[in-house]
Parts: sequence; C-alpha cells; structure tokens
Amino acid sequence: MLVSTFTLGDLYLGIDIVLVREINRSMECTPVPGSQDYIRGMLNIRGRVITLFDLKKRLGWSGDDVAEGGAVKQYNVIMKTHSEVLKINPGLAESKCPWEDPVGLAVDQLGDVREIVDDNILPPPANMRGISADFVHGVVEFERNLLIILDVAAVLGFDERQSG
Amino acid sequence: MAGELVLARNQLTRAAVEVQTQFPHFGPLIQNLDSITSRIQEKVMQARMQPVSVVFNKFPRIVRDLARKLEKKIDLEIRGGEVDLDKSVIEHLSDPLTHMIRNVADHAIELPQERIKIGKPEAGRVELAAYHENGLVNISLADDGAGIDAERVKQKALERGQITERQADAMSEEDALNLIFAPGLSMAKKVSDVSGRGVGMDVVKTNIEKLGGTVTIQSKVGKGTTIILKLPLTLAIIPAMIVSSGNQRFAIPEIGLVEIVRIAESDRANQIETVGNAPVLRLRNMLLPLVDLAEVLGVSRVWPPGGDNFDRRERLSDRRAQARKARDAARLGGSTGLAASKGATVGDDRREETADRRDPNNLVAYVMVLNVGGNEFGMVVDEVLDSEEIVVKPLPSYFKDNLCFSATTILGDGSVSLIIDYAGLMEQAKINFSNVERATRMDLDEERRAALRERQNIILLETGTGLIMGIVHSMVRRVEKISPKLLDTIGGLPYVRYDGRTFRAVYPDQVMGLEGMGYSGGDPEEEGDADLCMVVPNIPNIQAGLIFSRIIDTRETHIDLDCRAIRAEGLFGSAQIDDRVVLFPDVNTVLVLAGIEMPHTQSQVDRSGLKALVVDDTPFLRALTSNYLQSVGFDVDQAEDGQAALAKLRTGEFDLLVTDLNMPGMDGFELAHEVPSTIHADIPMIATTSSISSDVEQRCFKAGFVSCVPAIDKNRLLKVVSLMQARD
Repeated sequence: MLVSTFTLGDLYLGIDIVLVREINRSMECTPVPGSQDYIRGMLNIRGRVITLFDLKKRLGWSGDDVAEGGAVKQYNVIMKTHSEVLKINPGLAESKCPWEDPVGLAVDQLGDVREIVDDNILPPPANMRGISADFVHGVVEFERNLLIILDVAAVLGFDERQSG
Repeated sequence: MAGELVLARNQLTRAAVEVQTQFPHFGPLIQNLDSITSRIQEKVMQARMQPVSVVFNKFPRIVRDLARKLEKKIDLEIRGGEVDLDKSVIEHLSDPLTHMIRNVADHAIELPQERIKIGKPEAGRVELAAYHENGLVNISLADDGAGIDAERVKQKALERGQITERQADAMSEEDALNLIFAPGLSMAKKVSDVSGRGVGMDVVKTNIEKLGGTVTIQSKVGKGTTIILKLPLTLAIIPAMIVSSGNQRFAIPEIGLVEIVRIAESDRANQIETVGNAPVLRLRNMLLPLVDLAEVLGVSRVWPPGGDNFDRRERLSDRRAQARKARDAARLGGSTGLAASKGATVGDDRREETADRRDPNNLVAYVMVLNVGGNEFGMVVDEVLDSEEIVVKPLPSYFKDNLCFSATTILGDGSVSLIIDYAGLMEQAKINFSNVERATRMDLDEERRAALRERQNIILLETGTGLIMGIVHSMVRRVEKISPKLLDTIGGLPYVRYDGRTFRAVYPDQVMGLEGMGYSGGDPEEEGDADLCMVVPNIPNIQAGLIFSRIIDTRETHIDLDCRAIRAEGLFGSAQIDDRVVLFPDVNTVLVLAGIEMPHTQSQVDRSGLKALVVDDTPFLRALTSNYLQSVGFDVDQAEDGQAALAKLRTGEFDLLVTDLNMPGMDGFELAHEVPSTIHADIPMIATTSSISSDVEQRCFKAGFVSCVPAIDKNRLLKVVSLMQARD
C-alpha cells in the first residue's frame, strides 16, 4: 500500500494514504477549553471545522519533548472521514476509518510517499520507544529506518468501539 | 447556501475595515452589500421556516387509506401543526413519520372486533402532536393500540442472533424496546405491502439522528405506544453575541440572553459581592449568581500582548485594593479586622483582572444576564465584541461530553469559535456554586412572595471571615463579649469558658461551609487580640454559642428575604440591609450541623408521613415554622392567611394546623372559629405568636387551640407536637 510518511521528533511515522485527505502547514487553531489535552483545538479549512489532535501529546510524550517540537513549524495531516473513505474503499472504511468528523494530526516534518508491500509489515516490537504499541498498526524496516505505521483509529480513540 | 453567503459577508465586512483606509468609497459599498445580504438571509430564513403541518397534512389521507385497506377504524388527531421547523428538517421528517404512521396503523391498532372484545373503543386513536420543549421541537406519535411486548422483541432479536441469551436476560424493558431500532428487525408476523419488511425503525432512527435529533419510545402492552422525536428548531443560522474571555472568543446565542450589564470599576464594589464561595451581582434588588466564564472553562486569563502592561496592572490592582480596604472599613462603620478586608481583596482579585483590561480610569467587566429555564444567572466575560449572525456547525464528536459547548461556528475572520450552552455551563459551574445549587428549586412564585417586606428586630453580626449575618432578636438569649483567651480547644473542638460554665463555640460560617470565599481566615495572631462576641441562642439548656468577631448593629428593619441567591445548609436566605448582603442563618440547624445535640432530639418526635398546614403572613416566620416541622418529618403545606388556609383545609388532608394569631384579613382566632366547619373539625391546632401573655393563652384555649407558643421557639413547638403524639 501507499503510505504517507512524516516525522515526529525522531520517530518516522506513516499513515495509509487512502486515509489522508490533505496536508497543510499548521495554522492557528481555536483551543477547546475542558477537552483532552491531546486535542489542540479546531481549525477552519474551507468552511469545514476540523478537530486537530496533537499527535505528540496523544502518544504520551512528556512536556519537554512536546515543547522542543513546538518551536519547529509543524504540519497538519487532515484525515478523510468515514463517508469519504466509504466512496473509495468500503472495506477499509469499515475496518480502519470509523471516525465521522473531520480530524487532523499535527506532525513535525513531512516525508515522502512510500510504497510498502503488505507482507513486510511486522508487528510492533515490544521494546519500542516513544510510542505505545496500542497506536501502532505495524512497523516496516526501511533504509535502516523503522517506519511505524499508525493505527489512526486507535490514535483517535476508537479502539474500544472496534473491539466492543 | 444562505449560511455561506452570510459567512462571506461577515468576512468581507471585517476585511473592509482595513481596505477603507485606502479606498474611502469602499465603506458604503460594503454597507450596501451588508444590508442586502441581511435582507436576503431574512427572506431565506422565512422561506426556510415552515409549519410542520406541511408534513402533517398528508397523514389524514394516508391513515384513511390504510384504515380502509386494513379494515380498521382509526381516528387521527393532529395537534401543533403550526409549530415552525427549518425546511431542511421538515424535508427529512416526512419519510420517517410516514413510516412510523404506517407501522402504527398496521401493527399497533387492533382490528375493530378485537378492540371491542378487550373493552377499547372500536376506533383506534392515534395522536400526532408537535410542540416546543427546551428549545427543541418535539413530535410525538401516540396510539392506544396493542403496545409493544418487550419480551417478544427480545425473542425476535435472539432468533435473529442480534443479541445473545445473556444480553437478553440482562436487558431492561427500555433497552429491549430500543431493539426495534436495530436494523433488520421486523416485528410483523407476516410481511405485507404496508410494512414488515424489516427496513424500518432503524432508518427512522438514523434519519432523525442525522438531523441532530433523538428518538425515544415508551410502550405498555395493551395500552399503547408513544414515540417522541426531539428535533432542533433550525440547523442554520442564529443570532449570537461574540464575547471574549481569557483571550478567546465565544459565541453566546441571543436566545435566553436577557440583558448585558456593564459594571464600571467605580460601581463594581457596590454591585458585586462574594458570599460563600459564590459571587453575586446586585441587580435591581435581585441577587444574581455570577459565573465567571473563564473560570468555569478553565481558560487561563492572559493579559493581552504587550508584556509591560503586566506590571502596571499589578500596581493598579494594589492601589485599588487599598482604596477598597478603606471603603470597606468605612461602610462597615469603623474598624474592620484587617483579615477581613484583606480577604475581600483576595476574593475579588479575579474580577479585578477582568476589569483591568480597560483604561485604568474606567475599568469594566461585563455580565451577560442569561435565563435558563426560568433561572437567571450572570456570566462574567471580559469583553463584548460583536453581535453576529452565526452559522451553527455541529460540535465534533470528540467534545460531546463537554457540557459547556453546544456547537461550533466560524467567525468573520475565519477562525473557529465555540457556541456556549448555557444549561451545560450552569451545570458545569455547579462545582463552584454548590451552595447556590444544592437546595432544590423552589417555585418561583413562592419565592417572589417570600420577598414580601416584613419588619423584624435583628442583630447584625460579622463573622471572623467577614460575612455579615443577621439573627432575629428573639432567637437570641444574650450576647456576650468574650476575650479570645477564654477560647479553649477540648478534644479538637473549640469551647468557651464563661461565667463558670463551658460553652461549645460554633463558628457559623464554617459550619455552613461559607468560609471558602477566598478569605484565608486571617492570621491567628491578628485574631488573637480582638475581643470576640458570643451569641447564646434562645434555646433552653443549650450550652453553645455562635462566635462572631463583632456586633455591627441591632435594628428593626424590613427584610427582603431571598431564599434563592445564596443557599447553604443551615441558611434561611439572604437579604440586603444597608446595601450589604446579610445572611440569615437558621440557628437551630447551624447548631445541629455543628454536632450539638439539641435538648429536644429528633428521636422523641417523629411525625413522618403526617401533613401539617402552616399559616403565617410573614414569609420568614412561615418558612421558619415549616422548617421546624419538616425537621421532625412533617410534610408541610403553607398558607399566607386565614382565607388561604381555609381553602386548603377544605380541599386537602392535614393532621396538624399551626397558625399565626395576628394576620391581616382573617386572623388566627377567626380561623380557629371556622375550622370546625371544614372536614378537619377536630384537627389539632397550635397557635404561634410573637407576643405571648396569659391573656392571649386564655383566648387560645377558648378558641380551641391545643397550645400557644412563641413564634420562633422550636423546642416549645416540638414539645407540644410530641405531647400530642403521646396523647394519641
């Protein structure tokens, strides 16, 4: 599958490109008081209200790591919604894309789009640093880098619904 | 589309402000565009709002046709057809409603012969109604048909494998009924061309939920079913005020916004007071609970850009604090304990910041007076920026459990803003307002009446934390000036040695949980010097006193008792005396709260389940007496004069009558005279009076009263009550 890649601190992460709607430079967003701390706020992109997740905080990075990354210009990876994916790939929409509201993930640097052979995807190693295995769909060894493929549904907090 | 147009207009108007500096002609052009857009929008909105009768009107025919086809008799009654709904809602309402009606006709209503057999009228009744409730439009469809058998629904779902046996067993009736909304479940015994193809209620539910509505169902086997759809009034555009709080902008829907009060710094100290941990605003003789938006939301207040302002503010704040300290002292009539005025400053500091945003000479805070279901409260914001027609966009599901916001919108400058949900905000603020909100909501009319003027002799006292409390003179046996040296702690509890006896010292503010107003309680050293005063309540054999820091005054005055603004256990209510908020504690309850055993304990009298009628023209005493009776389990009803009491005696059932003797119109004696003419001829009667004498007592016995007690003497009253019990 094609994977859109990006970095977050020293992590090399990827998301199935079918799930990605667009990528923007980070822009000002409206914080939502009282929400989870990993939700950075809401964005207006062409009249759509998008909930922006702070991926670093979501992955449970400590304050230092987050502050360090905050200085760098970030990017927002805007995801497709369930109904958008449904039009392209119904199977994927059901299995991997349960969210109905438009969401975005704040990341540090953008990478390339990589072609990945599904068989090369390995389960997450137990001793992974910087990211909980719950959020990882799988890992791929790539030019001596470890590309971590995100389980976006889990990141957005949909894991319970899937299993239940 | 109209929404997008309005949005574009808003953005353009904002941009125009800058453009205008270069192109002077641009302004009028924009203004023109603005007004045209507004008119278009208005027209579009008018066109959008349609009465639900548009949908409802086709149902009589559908029902008639169905009835004929199914050989049933069905009367359809339609109510509330004039209720307006947004066109987009109406459009999506037609299909679900049609489906529901077909279902009702096919399954719910029995055949005429069956109906007659079970004693129902031959024709089935179906009622379709629309009405407003809580800002939503409810559409209910009720029938008197067979109802839905929850067990059978479970069975069906089991057969289809939609639920497991374990789930079925654990399932409540309500959950089972909701199963009919599950896809693929048909309750029809056989498929017909009317219904029963299993595509049905799930579609209804999905459609309604898409509109932002909800579906609930209630059903009784044999009695009928009611399905209620709750729908939002409009999906499109609402007028809102844009306010800022803590450097963030929020939209406040103008529905429910009563007024905006601007409070200048010079008036602020006079208008806003902090009582308990709840700030209140005095507004036209009403006490309005205040909620600080930033505080409730947990938004940190950020001083607007420009760092050097910060220092200036601190200095200003200090200076003003000094000024107020002086003012406070003056108002309280002399030397206030230093701790108290310091506390006042701390308590108000937050609001201080609000005000600080403006020019130092004219610092302002804004209070948005909002009405939530009849309850008014004030929301403090930093600034009121604009009034804008906003396009409501649903709140992303990630924030669904956030009480404070109902939706989002996009503002003129393109940024996203949150729309405040008053009711939710109020709920959220409960944490800060526990004292205000704890008590059950009383009937509004009742409270208005309670605000009637009455003249009482009261003692005004100040507590160690700077609260002013009033105690009715006749509840006080004596007030003693005591030196703090006489205060002792025995077993962790404070006691006062006085006159060879030991009194338990009770700090009323602490007992009632009102001390948490930012008054740190003051330094112990400071407290140490000043004399305290102890109020010994007029309760026989009580070895306890309420400790206050000083007496302010005694006076005979009117009390506008407001039982609503400030609430705490042990507190009757609050009133304004000389522009100060004075709290009226219920001394008995305060002592009980402090863990002091009353000479007359509850166990001796337990009259739960009995009903008493309390008659008194002064609301304060009426509340007091009722309170006493309630404390021993009576279910108390109240009447304000003899006439009202008689009316109640004639209709209701009572086991005890407690009446004031002196009342305008019909007084207590006359009432007693009339009582035998009611169904309560031998009801025990107790008279209360403020001036008891042997002469009065004689008259009371002649009039048939069991006893005559002083109006506020809890123990005498309860003793009489317990004697009556003994006699029974």
